[in-house]
Amino acid sequence: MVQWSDSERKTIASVWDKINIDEIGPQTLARVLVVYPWTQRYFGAFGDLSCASAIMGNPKVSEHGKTVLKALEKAVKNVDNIKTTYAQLSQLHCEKLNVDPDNFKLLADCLSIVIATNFGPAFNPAVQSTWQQKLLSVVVAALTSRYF
Amino acid sequence: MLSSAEKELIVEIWTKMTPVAEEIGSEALLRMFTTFPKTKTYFSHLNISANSEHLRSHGKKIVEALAEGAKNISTLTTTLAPLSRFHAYQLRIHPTNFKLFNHCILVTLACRMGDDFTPVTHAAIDKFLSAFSAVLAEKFR
Repeated sequence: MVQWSDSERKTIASVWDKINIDEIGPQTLARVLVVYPWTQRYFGAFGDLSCASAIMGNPKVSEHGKTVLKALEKAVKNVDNIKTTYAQLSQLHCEKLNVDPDNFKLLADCLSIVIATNFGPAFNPAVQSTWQQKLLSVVVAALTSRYF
Repeated sequence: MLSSAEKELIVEIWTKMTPVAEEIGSEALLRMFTTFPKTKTYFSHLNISANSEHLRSHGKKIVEALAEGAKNISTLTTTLAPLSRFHAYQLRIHPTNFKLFNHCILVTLACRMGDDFTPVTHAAIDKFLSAFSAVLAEKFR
């Protein structure tokens, strides 16, 4: 069971409060597809992903980015139960979507970087450590938990 | 594989970083020590607390080496040969740590550059840092 201190809970809540899902979601997914192009293999039905500007302007990427961040909200609002919260999503990613779980970490890293570009110095080392190292790695582990 | 546009972008960014090498380098190191505490095990002989002399001078050294590499991307193996030997035979850092540090450099740049740290810029720098780390780890075995 992951233990969260009061200060960690506050940090997570305050970062989330300032996140606009409709902006951060699309930026994050677009960044994953640009920086790690092999991830495009999972998005064959999304249309034009031929170059950075196509990816960044692609409406399906944008919609899906919002979907992913909305799913992350479940973890943020339920930090004591992340593994159970994501059990079904984990199964889905394994059995139906066949996503290599090593890619989850790439999304987590890109999300941290997008938050950094938006928050600037407010995303200081302590915030980065709680948000990224702890929260996002728990999320990634939960999403990987139903893989076999 | 770095395109010529990416190589130019990399030189441009690292030239801008050279005058603030100490700030960038020490911030990246501090982020790494805070977020990935196991990385501190390589620095038990130094005082790496925030703003310490060691943190700042070490950070500066690293960013200056990166800037030097950026100017000579096509000859990284030759340029970095001494550093590569040093990391292999003396420092013997577990190679996964390079990725952790690279990530913290990216976060540092992202915080400072904001929207200017576009996905294309991010990709170019990430590729450069990976190539740089690969050369540093080349002689490990």
